[in-house]
Amino acid sequence: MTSRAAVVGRLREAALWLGACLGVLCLLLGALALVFDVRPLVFRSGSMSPEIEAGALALARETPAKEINKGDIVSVVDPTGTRVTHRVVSVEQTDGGAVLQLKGDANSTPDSETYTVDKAYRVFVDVPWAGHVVNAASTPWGLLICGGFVTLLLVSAFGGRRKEDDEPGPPADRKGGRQATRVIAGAATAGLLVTTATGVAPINTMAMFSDTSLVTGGTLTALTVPPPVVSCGTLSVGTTRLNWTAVPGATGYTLHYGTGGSVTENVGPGVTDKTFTGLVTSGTFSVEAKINYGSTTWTSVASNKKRYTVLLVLVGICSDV
Amino acid sequence: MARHAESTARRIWSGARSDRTRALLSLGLLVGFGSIGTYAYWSDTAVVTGGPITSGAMDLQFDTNGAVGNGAGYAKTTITWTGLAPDERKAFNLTVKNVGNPPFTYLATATRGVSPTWTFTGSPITVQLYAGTAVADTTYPQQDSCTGSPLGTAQAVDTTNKPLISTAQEIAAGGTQSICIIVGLDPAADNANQSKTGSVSLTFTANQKP
Repeated sequence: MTSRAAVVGRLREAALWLGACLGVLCLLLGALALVFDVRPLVFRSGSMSPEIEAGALALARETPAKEINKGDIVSVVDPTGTRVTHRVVSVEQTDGGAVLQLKGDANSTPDSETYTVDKAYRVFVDVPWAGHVVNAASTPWGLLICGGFVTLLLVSAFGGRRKEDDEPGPPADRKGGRQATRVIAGAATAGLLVTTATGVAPINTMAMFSDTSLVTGGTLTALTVPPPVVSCGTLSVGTTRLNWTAVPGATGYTLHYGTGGSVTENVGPGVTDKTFTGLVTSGTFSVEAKINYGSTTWTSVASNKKRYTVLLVLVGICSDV
Repeated sequence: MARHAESTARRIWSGARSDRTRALLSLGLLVGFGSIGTYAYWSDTAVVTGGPITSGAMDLQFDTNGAVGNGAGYAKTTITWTGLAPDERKAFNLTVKNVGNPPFTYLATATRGVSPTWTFTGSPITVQLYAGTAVADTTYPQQDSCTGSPLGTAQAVDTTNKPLISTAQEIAAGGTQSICIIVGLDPAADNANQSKTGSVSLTFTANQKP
C-alpha cells in the first residue's frame, strides 16, 4: 500500500467510526424523545450563564406542573411565542396549574411576566458547545453536509472494492454491489430532501438577557410666595399711611387691619399702600401676597405686623408690633 | 463451550466493525438532525431552525457613564429644580445607550424618589417622556418643551410605578437614543405645596430582542 493510500485508508476508518458513533447517538436521542419525552434544547442566548452558556445543548424532560420546584431550570413559551429557559425563583400551585416566576442566572431581576403552566420541560443535563454543533447541523447547509457525509460513507462501504474482499469477485457480484450503492444513495438523498422540506430540528430556546436600571433624580422644590414687607408711610394730622413692598408676580394682596387685624380686604396687584383716616381709628395691619395661577391660588404667609393709630387732630402713630 | 461464546462475541464485534454496518449506523445522523420528520411529529412546541446564537452581555447605560453594568443605577442629579410654580414644566435631556451585544427593547416607569422625603401634598408632580432634546422656555411661567414627539402620556408621580412609554423603544447593539424628560407641577396644585420637596425615580427595563 502506498503512503497516500494508507492516509486515505485511515481517514476512511475515522470517518466510518465518526459516522457510526454520531448516528448511534442520534438514534439514542430519538429513542429518548419517543420513550421518555426528552427533548434537546439549544441555548441561543447566555442569560443562564455561568451554569449554562450560550451555545450549550441541554436535555429537558416534560414534567407535570405539580412536580416543578424552586431552583429547577425549566423551559416555557412566553406570550410572544418565544421559548424561554430560566431558573424557577418562585412557584405557586393553583387549580389552573403552576404559576412560575423565572429568572436568568445572569440577570439581576426576574422576568417581568409570570408563566402559568400545567407542564413544562425541565432541564436535567447540559453539554457546553454542543448546541453550536447541533445548530449548525440544523441549518439547510448543515443538513446537506450531513447528508453528503452519510452518502459518502454508504458509497464507500457498499460500492466498489470491499476491504475484507481481497480477491476480486465475479463480475455479477460487483455489478450487484454498484446497484446496491445506487439504491442506498438514492434513498439517502430522498430522505435528505424530505428533511430540508419539513425543516425539522431540535428546539431552540432563548435564555433572554435583561437589564434594569434605576435613574434617580435630584431634589425638586416648589415655589414659596414671599410675603410683602410692611413699613410705616406718611404720618400726618388725621391720616396714617402704611406701605408694603410689591411681590413680583403677585396677582393681588389680602390686607388685614382693624382691631386684632380682624378686617380683611382684597386689593389688586398694583396697590402697595393703605391710608387710614378717621376720628379715632387704630388696629393691627398685615398683608399677604397672592398669586392666582388659574386653577389654584397660592398665598404667602403674613407680612410683619404694624400697629397704627389715627387721630383727627393729631399726627398718626405707627409702630412695630 | 467457552470458545464458542468467545467466537460469537468476536463475530458480533467484527460484524459491528464492518464498513457496511458503520455506514448504515451513520444514517442515524439524518434521523437525529431530521430527515424522516420524527421530531416534527412528536413536538407540539415552537421549533426554530438554526437561528443565531448570541452570547456576551447586555447593558443599558445612560449619558456618558451612567448605570455601567447589569442592574446598576444612575444618579441623574441634573433632574432638579427650585421654585417650581403651578403649570411650570422643566425639560431634561437623557441619552439611552445599548452597550451590550444583543439588540434590546426598553420601557420606563416613574415613581417617587426616596430622598429627599416627599413632602408634596398628593401627587402634583408630573413626568412625561419625549423623543428628541430639550428646548428651554425663557419666559415666565417656564414651560419647556422637547423637539420630538411624546413616548407616552404625562403621569402624576405617586408611590406606584407609572408607565412612561406606551410602545417599547428599540435600540440596536451599540446604538443610542436621545430622549427628553419633562417634569412639571400640576396647574391645580394645592397651596399647601408651597416650599415642599420631593424627587422622581425612573426605572428603565431593557429586554433582549429575540
